[in-house]
Amino acid sequence: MDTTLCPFDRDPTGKPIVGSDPRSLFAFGHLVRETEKLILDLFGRGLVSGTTHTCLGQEICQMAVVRALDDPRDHVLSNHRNHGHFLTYSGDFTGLVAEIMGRESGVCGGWGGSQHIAYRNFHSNGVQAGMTAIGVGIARALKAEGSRGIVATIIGDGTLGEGLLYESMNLASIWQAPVLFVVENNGIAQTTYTRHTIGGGIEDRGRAFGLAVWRLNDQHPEFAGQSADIVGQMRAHGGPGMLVIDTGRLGPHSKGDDLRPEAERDALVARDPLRKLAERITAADIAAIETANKAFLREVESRAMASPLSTFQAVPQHSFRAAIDVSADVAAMNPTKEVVANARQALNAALHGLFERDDAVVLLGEDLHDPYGGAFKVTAGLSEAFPGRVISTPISEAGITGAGIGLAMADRKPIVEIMFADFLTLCMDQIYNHAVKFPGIFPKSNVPLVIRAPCGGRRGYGPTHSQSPENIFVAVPGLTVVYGSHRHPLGQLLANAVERWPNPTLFLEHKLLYGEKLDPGGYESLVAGAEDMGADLFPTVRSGSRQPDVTLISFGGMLPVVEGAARKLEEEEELLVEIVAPSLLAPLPRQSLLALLDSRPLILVVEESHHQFGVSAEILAMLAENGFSGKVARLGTPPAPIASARSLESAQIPDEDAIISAVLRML
Amino acid sequence: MATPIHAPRINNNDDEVKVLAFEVEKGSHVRSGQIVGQIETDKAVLDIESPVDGYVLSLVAQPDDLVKVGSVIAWLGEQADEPVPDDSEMAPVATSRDLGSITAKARLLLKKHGLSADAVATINGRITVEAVERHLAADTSRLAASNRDAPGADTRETPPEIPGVMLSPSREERGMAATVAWHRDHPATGYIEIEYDLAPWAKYAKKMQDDKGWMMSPLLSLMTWRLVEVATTSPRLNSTMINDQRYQYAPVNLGFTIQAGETLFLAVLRDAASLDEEAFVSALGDLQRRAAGHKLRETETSGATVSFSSMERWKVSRHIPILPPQTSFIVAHAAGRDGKGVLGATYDHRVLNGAQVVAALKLLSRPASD
Amino acid sequence: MTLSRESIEAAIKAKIVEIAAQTGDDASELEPDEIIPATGLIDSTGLLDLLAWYEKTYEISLAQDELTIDNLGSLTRMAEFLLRRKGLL
Repeated sequence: MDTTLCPFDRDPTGKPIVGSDPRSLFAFGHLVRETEKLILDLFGRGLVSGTTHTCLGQEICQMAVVRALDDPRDHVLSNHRNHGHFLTYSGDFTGLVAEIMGRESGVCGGWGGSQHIAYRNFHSNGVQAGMTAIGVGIARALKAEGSRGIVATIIGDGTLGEGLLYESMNLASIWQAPVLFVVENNGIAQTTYTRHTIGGGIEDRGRAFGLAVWRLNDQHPEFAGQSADIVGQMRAHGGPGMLVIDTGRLGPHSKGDDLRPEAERDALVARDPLRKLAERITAADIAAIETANKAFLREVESRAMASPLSTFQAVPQHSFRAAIDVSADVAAMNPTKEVVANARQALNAALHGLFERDDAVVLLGEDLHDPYGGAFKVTAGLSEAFPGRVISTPISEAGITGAGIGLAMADRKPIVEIMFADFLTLCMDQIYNHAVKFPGIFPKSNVPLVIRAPCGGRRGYGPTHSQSPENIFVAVPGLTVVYGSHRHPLGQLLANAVERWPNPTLFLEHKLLYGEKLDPGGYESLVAGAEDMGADLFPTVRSGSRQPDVTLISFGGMLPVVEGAARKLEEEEELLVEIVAPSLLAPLPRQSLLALLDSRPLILVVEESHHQFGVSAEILAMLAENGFSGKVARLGTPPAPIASARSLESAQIPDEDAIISAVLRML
Repeated sequence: MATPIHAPRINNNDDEVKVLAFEVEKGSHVRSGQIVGQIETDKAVLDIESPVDGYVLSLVAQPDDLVKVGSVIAWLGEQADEPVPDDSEMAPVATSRDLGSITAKARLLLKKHGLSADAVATINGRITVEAVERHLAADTSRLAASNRDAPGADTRETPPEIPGVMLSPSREERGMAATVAWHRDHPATGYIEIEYDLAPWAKYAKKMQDDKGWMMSPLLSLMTWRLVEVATTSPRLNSTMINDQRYQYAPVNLGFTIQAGETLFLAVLRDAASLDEEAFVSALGDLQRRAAGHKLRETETSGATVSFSSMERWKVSRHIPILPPQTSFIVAHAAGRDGKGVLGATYDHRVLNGAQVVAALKLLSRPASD
Repeated sequence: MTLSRESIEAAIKAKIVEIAAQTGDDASELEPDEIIPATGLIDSTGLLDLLAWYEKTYEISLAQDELTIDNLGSLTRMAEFLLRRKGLL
């Protein structure tokens, strides 16, 4: 960041110090407005990447709460319209202008553009309400660490239509998390008036969840002081609040989409809080401020223009970060525990070990508390042994995933349990647009989040409680998908995911494996290829002939079925069968797998998931791309809903006979 | 009328429970609601109560048994001497798969040895690996061939006493070994060559290269295309002997020897006669480049019906190629000198006679349009 | 891998020297603008090896129509062709 260039004094964290007197407020507000105008001018000259959302008319509104945040642990989570918040928080005018222009000296080097910015404890993203649950997670962590810090999560009135906001308010309320939801009410969402989009009252929403609620107007002469007072009250009571600020947007939502009548726009100009501030200071002061700001922005523009266009040294092929070199040996963590008999107990023992050893580990999910201990009892005994760190949550899958991301960003090691993997679709935006994006864009953002989810069928649970959704999640860039089995050291896989793998990870557990005996059998681990990130932490195992007639690749809950089929193929058909079972589905351990499979004559990939466009498709495409010349086939669940009746379900999900038939067809 | 006691479902997610103990024994009288035993899941222990007054007829499960939820663990009767119902018909019958008359592995072996299943005597009603091996052992003429790659350890050579390392062959190397073994054991090979003028082909190829601005001379591709044409008009070249009968191939699958790195093998362009001259040159070029990059598909390394081999690159004046398996004709092209070259062919004398080979070579020695 | 004209030409030349050596020829004096097939240093099979290597090393795929002297006749042309194909020229 360019610290030399800021016309305001800064506090020790680098935040500009803006007084609450009219002159200081006008000087900074005017500078923000002129910066927005410069950005629009650059846009008109074709020098801006993509689009941009300015805060013209809302400068004083955007400054208010951010200006008043004076604790180093305070956080600001903003949205698509963030320039005023960012400039008030950072004072980095050149960094913002260069970022929007896609230049190297941009505050995020050109990755983020106008909407996606991270700087110290400031984070903005481009999905409406997407940051709200994250803010609750951060606030919970701040409270747990005993800090004075609060989180300001800033949204527009248009965001009031998003459901995640209400999950977040509810979580903030029941956790009494110090988060202030700031609603900048400019009365219009892109082009649709709020009166067409909001039923009921705005403040009523906050009250319904038991939040402290305030409403201010940015035209009020004491608006800055009122905002600071509310920040003070938030700090004092330590719980959640909602502040509605009535404001007015002078410019369009983005570019060229302002369809409001002229009279309405004139009225907005007349209420302009910046103009009202100007009326309270002398003409000489105004002239001096305008001259100084103009000169300053000329310098900002020339520095931004002088910065080269952002370039990659090499186009990134993934956004995974390397494993952390610490010990996470589950055996050493938990030496006194009784013998681990099955997969459920292995996971439970690993969780006990992780909790004992590392205070940063927390667990979130539905019905985790003793004596129930989670729908599949994996978390049994934890809430009694570690009070306060096992959090039974409301039924809010997206909300708790977001809270998990926030906890992870605040240096916790959250494990989120989603009761059935089918419900992961509710978490998709938090995973797809948030958890994997931040580490990919911002070098300092860490999201070491683990989401555990029981998955799979063969229990007659029907269409929405039987699925194996790994096919969808392996396609999420930057998401690690681990799916172990009873042939893998399951507890160790979980410990590795929590302690050693600093990337957002989905950890799938097949329901039928919970009772399966944990036993490596005749399996051995493949040597992890040097290029395969994570392959040593989440190994691929192999058993059977080294010169097989057929190689069966499978994973997770499909493995016991594949083993049954392999036994029959050996006994009844005299074939030599090899089984290869990865536990890491994404990033796929390509080098490790290719080294083994290259010379195999016949490979069948068997998965319980819908296989079209899925894991087997990727494995076989990899083989084809690398000149594999043997025969291949895949077997999975056809792309239709899974039936409830066991007799129907068993005809859909591959069983031993289906696997044997598939092999015989290939020969 | 006997009453069953079923293993109860305790938790939604447990399909099996463990029988811990029975507090009654066969013949005991029990009252409704009386505890008769305990079962356990990995979370809880539960008492089992008798649903009726009566006598214990039978304890179906034993302590420590894992039983399926819903299965009968005990029977009660109104009288102590009632018969115990047979509940086997209530249990779902495990459907067994129909086993084929030939095991999959045996089928692979039959295919490998070109055997018909009819010829092999079954063992216990099925053709197994053992059945095929017995058949092969009885057929001494085939034994030698099967020795080299049959899986049975007893037919394998032991390594020499002299120190050394065992190196596994690449796919291409295995192909070459199979080729020479077939050549030795099956066809009656002959070799014939003719001398020819280099100029007409050179002129024809040069013109095409100049017209197109190509980097490489298409000479060999054009001569190979000529072979496809000749094999189409003289189908005898495009055939082989199978069990004393001539097998006439439908497509012309053109094999072309490729030296890729350390290995030499046949790259195969299937159904080459479906192309025209220019498309063929293009397709063969593509095949050769992919072969050099070890990127051929399996269908492109097998199934040749007629072949072309050039050793011009190595400046040899003649060479006698090995005949690829189940083909009858492979052209040998070599380096020319002083405007003259030698064009030869290895052929299967069971299929072709010398005159037919000479006629084919003469057709190949000049461009068709010449 | 950084793709500069010089590094590409150097890599191709090294490969040509290697291929020529297989048939006992020495290509170390090959100039950047010399028409490679005209030098007689490598024959058609050698050219095939060269092109297969070129496609694999630089992860491009050539069509038969593109295998012309104009496109790929010399070290300079092969380097330029590659840079154009990669959108770097």
